[in-house]
Amino acid sequence: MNIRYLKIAFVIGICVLLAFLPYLGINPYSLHIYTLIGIYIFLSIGLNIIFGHTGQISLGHAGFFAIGAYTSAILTAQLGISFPVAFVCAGLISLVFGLVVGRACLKLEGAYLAMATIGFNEIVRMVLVHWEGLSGGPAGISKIPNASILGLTFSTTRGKYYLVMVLTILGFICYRNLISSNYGKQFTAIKENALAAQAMGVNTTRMKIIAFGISTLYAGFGGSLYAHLNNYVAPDAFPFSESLTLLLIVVLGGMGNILGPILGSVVLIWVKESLRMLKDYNMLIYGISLMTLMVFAPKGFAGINLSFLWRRISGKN
Amino acid sequence: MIAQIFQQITSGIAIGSIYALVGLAFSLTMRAVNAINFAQGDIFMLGAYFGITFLLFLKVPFWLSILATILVVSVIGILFEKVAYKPLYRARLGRAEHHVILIISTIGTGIFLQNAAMLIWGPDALAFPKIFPKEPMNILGMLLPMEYIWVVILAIFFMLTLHYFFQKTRVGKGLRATSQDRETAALMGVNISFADSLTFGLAAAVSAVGGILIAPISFATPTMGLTYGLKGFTAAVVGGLGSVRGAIVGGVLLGILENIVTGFISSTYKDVVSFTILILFLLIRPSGLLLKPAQQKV
Repeated sequence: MNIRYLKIAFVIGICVLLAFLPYLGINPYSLHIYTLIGIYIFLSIGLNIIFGHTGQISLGHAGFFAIGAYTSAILTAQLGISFPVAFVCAGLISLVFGLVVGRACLKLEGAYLAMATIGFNEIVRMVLVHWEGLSGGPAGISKIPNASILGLTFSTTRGKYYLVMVLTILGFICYRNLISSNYGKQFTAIKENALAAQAMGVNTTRMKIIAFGISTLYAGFGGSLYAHLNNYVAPDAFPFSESLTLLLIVVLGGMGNILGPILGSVVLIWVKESLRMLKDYNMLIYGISLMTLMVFAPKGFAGINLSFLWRRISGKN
Repeated sequence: MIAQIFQQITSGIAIGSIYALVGLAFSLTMRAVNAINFAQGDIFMLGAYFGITFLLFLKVPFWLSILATILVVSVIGILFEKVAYKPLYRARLGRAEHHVILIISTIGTGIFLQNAAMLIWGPDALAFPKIFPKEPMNILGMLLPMEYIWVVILAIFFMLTLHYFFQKTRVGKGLRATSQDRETAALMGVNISFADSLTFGLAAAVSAVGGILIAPISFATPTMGLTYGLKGFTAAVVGGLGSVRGAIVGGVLLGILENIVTGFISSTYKDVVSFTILILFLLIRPSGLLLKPAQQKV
């Protein structure tokens, strides 16, 4: 009983903190980064559904992220459609691509699935670079209007922060309900043992495609938010390494852990931003730390096992 | 028209033999330890850069620079195995998790290599010096670019060397035994740990040869690894991942197809075509053209 109240108090505390964060004397750049973290939480919730909970790796989620961002950009900047409609369309179009790719690729497993989805990611990026009539080529699409809902326009950094935070919290609640539902349990069954799940009556192919679809829906929504946060999209923002970033967020936060996307996004984006001051050495150190992390903490922060770490360092097996 | 097709096919075979070399590297590690090294493309990139360094900056003669590049890059490959692969192989994890961790660790190392190259050699494209004679050879009225012929000859030479090593030498036989059955090979006196290191070293050497042979075809850039790695992987998958012959057949087919697309349709979408082929093959015939489809094990 006490723990329950403690949990509720904690959640309320976090919400209050998030609500008043822009008024705590934070500079606009930091606030922009917090908004970005919100978008990454959105995206990595998507990846956690298919990868963390269902156990199917995807290294192509930046492709769906890009599809969402470009859909929203084209609809609002070029066709003059309002933000709420564009936001929903971004998710749906990403979902359609997700269902097609999922239907095709989810027969594969492990490293093969990883390679196929990297291929998809590169195809999306190249089409965006070369199909200038649609995507504006390498220069991308600029002057994307600010998001506005029912006459309320989110044009300032503060406004965008609130928009992203509210949508992220809504997205998180849906995600939590999905995972505790019947579907979520079937996802976990597939991850633990696909054959046993099938024997227990889980339609594994259908469930994998559903999980992939929902996951790309989240990626599409995240893309739309990203487009309206920066008012600008270009193919450079969606390279394969972005898919890797999402994968890392999920692994660091703990695969299949509901709070994983939040924990992982906060830590990884913070680390990436702090490494920025190292300039040229930034990515060098990023790469080496990925490798070291996998050697010492293969199960993410949630699974760091100190005694294991100590044995590794001291060389005793 | 015929002359044009003929030329597209020759240059297709030349670039294809480079894809074949990278594909071969993927197949080597796949066969020996059932792992895919996602940094294989970046090791290929190192081959190109070390080649340029020896040829252009240190003015070493061509034959010697090929050998030096192979040596340096295979040492890097062995180090790679010791740092990014072996510690993970021992970790006791579930199968699915093991794959993922290996993927992230090798990609992380790839990012490291890419950025190290960018710091050492700069972010701009570097051109190779002219290595091979430039004059085209005239066969029956059709012009054959000599440098492409040299690429193919050298690629075949290194593949034959590798074949000889695996078939005839004691160490090569040990490696083959290890890839068939690790435990039995260990009981027969093969040093498994040494065999793994050697496999990664050989895979790195093969990609390095590919990297240096890219000379007449393309520039070297620090980010070239992703594209060539994916193409090499495609080559291996088309022929059958894990099969040496498959990588060669797949590479040459992919190279020819890509060049025909470039020559007759458009050069902008040639990479899109290759990656679509990769996805299609993974879906329709994941065992490739030369291997028999595998049965799913329970």
